[in-house]
This record gives sequence, structure tokens and C-alpha cells, in this order.
Amino acid sequence: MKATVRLVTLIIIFAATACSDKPSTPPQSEPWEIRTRAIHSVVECLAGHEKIPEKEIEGASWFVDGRIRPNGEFADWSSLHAQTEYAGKELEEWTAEAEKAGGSWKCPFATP
Amino acid sequence: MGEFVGVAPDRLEKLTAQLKRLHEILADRGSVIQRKMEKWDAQVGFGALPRLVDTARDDARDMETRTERAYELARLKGWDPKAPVMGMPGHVPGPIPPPVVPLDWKATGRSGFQAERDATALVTAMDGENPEGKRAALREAAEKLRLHPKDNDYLRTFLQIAGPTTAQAARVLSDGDHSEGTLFSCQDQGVLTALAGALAAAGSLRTGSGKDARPLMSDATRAALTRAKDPWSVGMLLKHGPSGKNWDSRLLADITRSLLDARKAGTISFPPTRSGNGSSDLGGDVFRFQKVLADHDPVIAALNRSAENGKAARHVLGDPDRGLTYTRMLVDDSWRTPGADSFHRRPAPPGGMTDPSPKIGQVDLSSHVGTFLEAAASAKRGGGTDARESAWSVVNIAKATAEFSRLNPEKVLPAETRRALNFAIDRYLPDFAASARLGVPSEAVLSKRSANGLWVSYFSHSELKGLLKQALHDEKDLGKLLGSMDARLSGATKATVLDPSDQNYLSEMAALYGFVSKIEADRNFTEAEKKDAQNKRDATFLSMISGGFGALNFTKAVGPTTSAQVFTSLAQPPLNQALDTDHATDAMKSNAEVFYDRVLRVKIPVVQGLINAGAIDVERDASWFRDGVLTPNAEFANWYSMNAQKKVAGKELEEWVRITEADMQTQRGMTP
Repeated sequence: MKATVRLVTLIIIFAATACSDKPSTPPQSEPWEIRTRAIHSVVECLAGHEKIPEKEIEGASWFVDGRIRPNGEFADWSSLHAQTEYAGKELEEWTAEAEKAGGSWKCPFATP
Repeated sequence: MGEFVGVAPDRLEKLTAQLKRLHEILADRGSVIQRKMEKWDAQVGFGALPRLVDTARDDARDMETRTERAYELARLKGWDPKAPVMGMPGHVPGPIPPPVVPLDWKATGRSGFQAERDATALVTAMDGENPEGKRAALREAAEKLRLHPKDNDYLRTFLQIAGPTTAQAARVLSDGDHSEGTLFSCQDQGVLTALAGALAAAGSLRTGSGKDARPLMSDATRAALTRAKDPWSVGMLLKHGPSGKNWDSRLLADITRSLLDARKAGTISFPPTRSGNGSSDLGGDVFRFQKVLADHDPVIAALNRSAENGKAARHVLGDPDRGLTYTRMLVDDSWRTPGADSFHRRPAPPGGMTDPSPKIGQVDLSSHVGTFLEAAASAKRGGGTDARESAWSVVNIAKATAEFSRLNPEKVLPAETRRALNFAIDRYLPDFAASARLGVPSEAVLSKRSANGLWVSYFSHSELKGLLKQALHDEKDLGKLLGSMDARLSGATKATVLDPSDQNYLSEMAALYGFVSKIEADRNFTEAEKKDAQNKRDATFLSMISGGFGALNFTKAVGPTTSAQVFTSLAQPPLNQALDTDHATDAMKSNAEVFYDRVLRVKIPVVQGLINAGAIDVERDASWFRDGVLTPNAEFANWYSMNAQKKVAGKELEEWVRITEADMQTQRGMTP
């Protein structure tokens, strides 16, 4: 009898835990969100390590203090440079690499 | 100094009548006389006839003004037309003739003088209390305006004095006789047409030159139209006035904004009708009355004229600061007449009404909204102001649609509004594709694609998704978009090969497929709907490809400054404007198996694009390539496998196909 009570209590506790403390699986990112993050990381990495010519970055409204500030001009630049080669690879290839690696992609250049 | 002559008013009146008669005969019979004379080979030149008719009209009109003025002067001198009839011995009794009066002949013939007289008469009557007198004065003023076509001096003076008054004309006229069963009699519709014609002309004309150039329309008249106390009356001037193309776009945009504001504030009042709510003294039932309401909706009149004008629609929606407010009002499901409460037709049950009854007789107005939205997204692409406003209009349409979707997850915009959304997506397809690859806060920017500038719209992913969700609600629209994207893959491939910039149109296009696939998955279409979508996709693809879409016309012009041209050409309609999709479906049915192979696989449009770009030379006797169009068969499959590893335009043929396939499949793989 005691065992039954204990079991019921346990079930109730579990149930209560399940209700109040629903394990929150992180919402699955959409592919375009992953790609957007990848492009941000790659451009921050390339620009931060002087792999993008100075004249392309200088005065750009979308690159402030080493970070991407996304705006229409950034989308425009990114669209027009998809096949431009930086540090031996096209921007698109860099992006695909980062996209595939997801959050674990690391900028391969040493901090200058 | 005036040029005074002594005139007898009654004799002047006779002269006026003769001149009017002369004008009538010339205007009515002139063309008949001309035809007859020509038939008889008469060697008489008739080139001057139209000018003679106009001169006769002007002479009659000027003389009439002089006659009126002469009688006025006679009255000032003490002459009384109603004075008792006098009889002198030996004379037949009759009214006393008016005395000879000194008349300024030149001044009375001038437009400014006449305009001042006519406008003052109108304002005096309109300020009075007599409704019939007001209506008569409006009719008289319209007649005078018609006698002064293209007369800027007359227009300026007339509107300087009576301009603001014209803004109230419609309500005054609508209060008249409804025996014709319409709100305005034919004659009164003509009055509104004449007044609106004058306002439209004054709105688009400039007076003075150089630094002194200013609009012919006074600020007061403009304010009476754009900040009207009675917006309904202003809308009726638009309804009965000239086409939107004849109006100044800024004026039309200001009026449209003010009417949309008034609609939102609920300050538009339809003229009271005598039978109360639901029906009117116009005859007919509630359904007919709702139709009358729809026909006389002032906001719809403004939307129609602005859409005809084009630029006006873009001023309203394409303003980066204010445009979104107005786009929100339009991208909405409230565009219908109020309808009547159904208890007007059905007696209330004992105990009163329980549930609110649905409205009856409502007329859907969303087609006008759709046409306006389309006009707002229709400017020629480029770097100018109009292109900028168009690009911003599309941005605002996407924002407003996404907002509607977010606030009303269960609601669907009216079909006519969704038609406009699909129109905008199709026109700005390359912009949407670029945004699918990388989302940023939605805005229009002057792209670096061209030295001459090109306004491009960029969209955030959430707004892109919200827009597509509404636009692709109908499975046929989804199929149509996919089909047109399939067809554009050829163009995208060709563009990627030929564009001297480093843009990859193919991967951008593929990213857009990802978005569309996601919408498709979320919609949970039934199998039948999916089939419909697929049919529409196939049909659209086939008709676009066979309609010459593959032959984008930028081949010869490619150079360092042409990437803007390449970019926009991806959104050009196919050469075959009338997308005959039914015909295409027939073609598909006759050869279904081959057709599915053509459509479902990416390699066909990609290879087509590479051929179009001149990157692949097709052997002359290839059975799978006829008249510039790739038609897959067994021999094509053979050719493809033999050439898959061959380097074409810097990449292996297979890699070209893989770029697209991989991207599309990545997107599809992520969808539930």
C-alpha cells in the first residue's frame, strides 16, 4: 500500500514537473536563419582579418566596430560579391562552409 | 484705360443670338458640309474650319458677357425692365427699351473679366440659402467653363475666386431631383465633369516662368481639395472628372491620402437618403442601395484615379516615412460596403434579436485596392524618383502584409489583393531572391549594380515569409510562382555566366525556392490541391519557356555597367505577354512523361540557361534542341551524361546543376 502511495506521489511529481517545467527544446532554426548567421560570421571574420580590401569596407554603413549591422546596403554588397574571392575562396564558398558547420564554425585566421 | 463705346443692350442681345446661331450651325453642320464639298471635288480648303468654329464660339461667348454687362449698366442708370407699359398717342404700347450705355468693349471681352463675373456669381449663390439657386449656379458655372477650354487666364481667375466652392459641389447637386433613379442627373454629372476638368487642368498647369513658376491652382483651392470638410464631395469630383493621367500626381496623392485618413477616422458621410438606413429614395432594395454606395465611394474614386495616374499611387505608398501607414489601410480585409442589417428584411423574432446577424448586400471593393497596389509597384526600374517610390511601395506592401498575417493568423486577404501581391512578387522577383539568400531589415536602397543607379528592395525574412504566406494562399498561385521561377532558372543561369559582377543569381533563386517550399509545407495542401498547383506550375513553365522567356535580351549589351540591366531583366515578363497556360496544359497532357522530366528536374532550365548564355554549343542536328528550346528526350539524357564533367563557363556542367539542386534540397530537407 505504502509502495503504491509512493508510486502515485512519484507519478504526480513527475507529471507536475512535466507540466511546470516543460523541457524547452530550442526552436529549430530555419535554413535561411542559419545562412544569414553564416554570412554574418564569415564577413565579420574576413573583414576583421583584413581579407576584404579596405576600400570595400571603409565607410560602409553595415560594418561598425567589427560587427555586421545588417541593412539594405549590406544585402546589396553581399549579393554583388557572392562570387568574389577573398583569402582564396569565393564568399559563397566561405558561406556554404560556415552554413554546413552551423554554430561550430570558427574563423580560421589568427587575430592580427 | 478702358475702350468705352456706346451700346444699346437690346441690340447687343440680338447680335449675341445671331453669333450663337452661327456657332451652332458651324459646329453641327461643318463636318457634313466639308464631306459633301470633298465628295464634289470642290477645291476649297477646310483646314481652318475647326479654328473658325472655335472663334465663333468665343465671339458668341464674349458678346453674351457684353450683353449681360450692358443690361447691368442700364439698370444702374435707372432702367427698369418691369416698368409699367407706357402708351404714347400714335404709338403701340410696349416695354421701355433700355438706354444706350457706355461699355468697356475690350475689358468685357477679356477672360479675366469674364472669369471674375462667373466665379463671383457662383460664390454668391453658393453662400446663399437657396438650394435650387445653388444648383442652378453650379450648372451655369459649368457651362461657362466649357466655353473657355484651354483658357488659362480664365481658369486661374475663376478658381482663384470659386475654387474652394467647387469642393462642395457634389453634395449640393446630390440633394436635387432623384427622379432619374440616380444620385446625380445626367446634367449634374456633366457639371461635376466640367468642374473636375478645370481643377485637374489647374492642378497640372504652371504659371510664370523660371523662378516665378508656380502652380496655377491657388493654395486655398488646393487646401479645399486636400483638407476637405466634405471628403465625399471631393471624391465625386474625381469620380466624374478626367482620367487620372490628366491630374497632377502630387495633388492626386494628397487627395488620396486625405480620403484614406477620412475613411479611417470615419468622417466620410454619404448624402442622406430619404428612406433611411438600408434603402433610399433612389428606388430598389437594399442590394441596389449598396451598389449605389459602392459606385459613389469617394475613396474608391481616388484609388482609381491614382492607379490610372500611376505616379500618384507610388507617391502614396512609396514614401519611406508615411507610406506604410497608408499601405496598412489598403492591405486589409475591410474593403466592402457596410451592408444592411438583415432585420431590415426579416422581422425580428419575439424577444428581439439574439445573435448579431450578418450584413447583407455588401459589395466587395477589393479589386480597386488590388489595382492601386499593382500601380504602386509598376514604375520602370532604374535610379530615379519614380523607381525609388515603386521599390519602397513594394517594401511597404511586404511589411503591411506580414503585419496583417501576424495580427490575423487565421485570416486571408481578399483574392484581388492577393492578386496584387503576386504581381509585385513577380515584378520584383530578383529582389525577393536576393533577400531570400540574406535577410536584412526591409528597405529600398540605391544598389551599386549600376553607375546610373538602380533602386532595389530588400526584405527581412519574417516579412518575406508573411508576404508569401498570403500571396500563395491559393494553390494555383503557388504553382504559378513556382512555374515562373522554374522558367527563370534559365535566365538566372545565363545571368550568372554573363554578368560581369560577382552575383550568383542561381543560388539566390534557389534560396527563394526554399522559402516557397516552406510556405507550401506549412499550408498542408490536400493531394488534389497539390496536383492543381503542379499543373499550374507545369503550364506556367512551359508557356514562359516557349513564349521566349529564355531569350533574355541582354546578351549583346553585357559590360561593366550592365549588371543592373541583367538583374532587372530577370523580372521581365516573357515575350509572349498572354501567358496561354491552358494551351500549355494541353501540350503537357499530350506528352506528360517527358514533360514531368522537363519540369521536375533542375538540369533542364540550367542547361537551357547555359545554352542561352552561349556557354554551350549544341550540335546542329541535336534532336533535343529545336527553335531555341530544350525538349528533353533519351538523346538529351545521353548527351548530359557524356558532358556532365565538362567545364562550362568556369564550372563543371554538373556543378552548375548541383548549386541549384543542393540549395533547393537543403531547403526542402528542413521543412517538416
